[in-house]
Amino acid sequence: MSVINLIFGPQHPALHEPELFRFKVEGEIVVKAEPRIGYVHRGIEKLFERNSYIRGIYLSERICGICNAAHTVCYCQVVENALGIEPPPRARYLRTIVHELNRIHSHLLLLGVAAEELGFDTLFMLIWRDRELVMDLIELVTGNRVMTAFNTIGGVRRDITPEVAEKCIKALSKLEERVKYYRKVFEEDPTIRRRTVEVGVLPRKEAIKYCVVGPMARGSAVDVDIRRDWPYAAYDEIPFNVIVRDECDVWARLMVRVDETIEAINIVRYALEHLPKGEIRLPLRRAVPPAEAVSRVEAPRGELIYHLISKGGTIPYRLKVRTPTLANLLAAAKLFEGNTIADIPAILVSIDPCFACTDRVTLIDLKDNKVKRVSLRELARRCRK
Amino acid sequence: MNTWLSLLLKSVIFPGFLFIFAFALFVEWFERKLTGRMENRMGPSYTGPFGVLQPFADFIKLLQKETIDVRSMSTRIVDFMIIASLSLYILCALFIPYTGKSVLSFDGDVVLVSLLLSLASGLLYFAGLLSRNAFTVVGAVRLLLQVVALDIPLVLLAIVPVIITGRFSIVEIAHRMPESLIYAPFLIPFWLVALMFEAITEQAEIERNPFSMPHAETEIVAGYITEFSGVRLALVNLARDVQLTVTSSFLASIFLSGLLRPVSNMAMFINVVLLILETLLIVFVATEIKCITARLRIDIALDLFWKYIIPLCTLLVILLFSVKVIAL
Repeated sequence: MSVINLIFGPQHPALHEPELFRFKVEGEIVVKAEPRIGYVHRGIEKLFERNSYIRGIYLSERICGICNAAHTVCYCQVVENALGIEPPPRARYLRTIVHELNRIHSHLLLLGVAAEELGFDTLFMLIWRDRELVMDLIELVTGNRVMTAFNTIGGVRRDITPEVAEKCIKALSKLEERVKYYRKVFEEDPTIRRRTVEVGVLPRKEAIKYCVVGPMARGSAVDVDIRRDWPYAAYDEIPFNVIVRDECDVWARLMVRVDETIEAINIVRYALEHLPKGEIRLPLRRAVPPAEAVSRVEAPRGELIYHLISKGGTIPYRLKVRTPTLANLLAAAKLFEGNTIADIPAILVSIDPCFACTDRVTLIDLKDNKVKRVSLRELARRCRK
Repeated sequence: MNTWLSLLLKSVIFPGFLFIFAFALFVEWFERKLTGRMENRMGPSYTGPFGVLQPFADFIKLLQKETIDVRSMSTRIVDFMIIASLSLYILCALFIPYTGKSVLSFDGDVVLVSLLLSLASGLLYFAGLLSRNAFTVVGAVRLLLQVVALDIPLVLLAIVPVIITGRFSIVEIAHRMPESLIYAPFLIPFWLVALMFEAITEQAEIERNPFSMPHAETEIVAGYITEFSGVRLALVNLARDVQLTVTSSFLASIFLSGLLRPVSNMAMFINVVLLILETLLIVFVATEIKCITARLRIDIALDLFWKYIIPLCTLLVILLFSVKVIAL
């Protein structure tokens, strides 16, 4: 049978960000998949090197709109590590709360998108309706629905009152009820199960080989979670379970996210009930002494790494960001092969791709080990090749 | 009046093109509004009372838009296929007894209409294939596979009311359907099972969830209609609305109907209202099924049809026939 080139993107209904996948299909079977990242490259790492540490907080927030809290937590932590300071306990708890609210919103967003990609529009609309509950909570706690601008170097920017905490707990129990219902839907609905069970199987061995992170790893029976293994913020004081499933398929990855949402609701509830008293931030320090620091955070999509090199002064010398989607994308490209066209959106959604955070570029010529800076025009020419 | 003139008037005005056009757009509004409400949305609300004119506005809007001829598309054949498909659906409408009598009718038209409905979908396959784009080709192949699989159960299920009523034409079946069941209550279980299968088969026929693979949005963009724009898209959309309407009316008239004899104008009016309500009931069920399911994969759907629905439908028809013969 002849091979058709099926080109997904840069604009395609299954992709919510511009990215290109070239699939070679034989009938309905995908023989080869080539991802091509780089359509939303914004030069953000370079911008960090020109802006002060304070401005960097807002810049890091804009790397990814969906998991913005994870990015600011990670950025603030890396600067704090370089400064050698630790935020006060109340700030650590507040960070945890916003980080987890962010996780709930991100996971619900993904589950809705997953339903849409499987053609289940009703579920998509309903999940997104209930996601509004957590969006309202984020607005209540931080003052903003999406871009929280909550964390700052050495603490957080806003405190929460007991009334707000009470409102949060009330809204969370309502949300928990809804999430438990959606868990039942994902677990029992025959059409969803037919589309996701035993589709896109990533065995444990392969998952370790490709270094996948986050829910994708936990869906493949790899027991890894930065929150538990290298605790930051207040995670060492809050009891929670790491959800691991051993089915290794798309369904397992979605179920990991459903269960993590419930777990995140419990974490927020515990943190609100055990909120320590005291300061919410340390006095601001503009300059960072020469130092090198690394920070790791469990973002909703997996492990997020910031690496900072400071040579003194008020602006970073170099800041490297490794987002989770980059780690997961390579494994996903392998997963497409051998599955059908109909499985492409299901597999794609199961890695929860966030391309805008992934796209950063350095060209390295492997033949003579030269690192080059290229103009946009040349980059466009190379892409066409 | 001249019979030819009368036939022409009937096929252009009622129950031909104009009536079907208006009814199909109403059915589209009904489906969209219902889907919207199911999905926690408003659905069309601004154009006309409760947004009922929205599909008409969309149709007019599409007519004004530029029709892009893609270089790879065999334009003339594609246009022909779209118009032929639309005409076939309207031809089917002439067999449906909206007033209690139909424009065209003969013994055995039940089978003919079932086949014409499939053929009209089959013509859209060519329209997709001849657009020569990866998405349209995949969509068209899926459509063809689906039409081939659902054709057999569709005809088999059309035989069920024939056996129950003992008549071969749609008009006669429509008049006798509920009575026959009342006189022979032991046939009701067969009728119910047939209705259940019919609900599944209709979802595939009208390409709604869980059988919306030929135009699966997140997989192949819009499937076989990806390359259509302007007038062509307007006509394809209209053809699909007419398909939904005519298929539902056809099923309503052979499975549900209890039409009165068209002896007076009053009886004919009641018949029109009754059949429209029954059609809307079937559209309602189809829309609910669409809203509570995810899209299947084409191989799963084909499995379902070839391994389960076709053998079970055959068994149903054989059993029903034996029961009827023994009862007589």
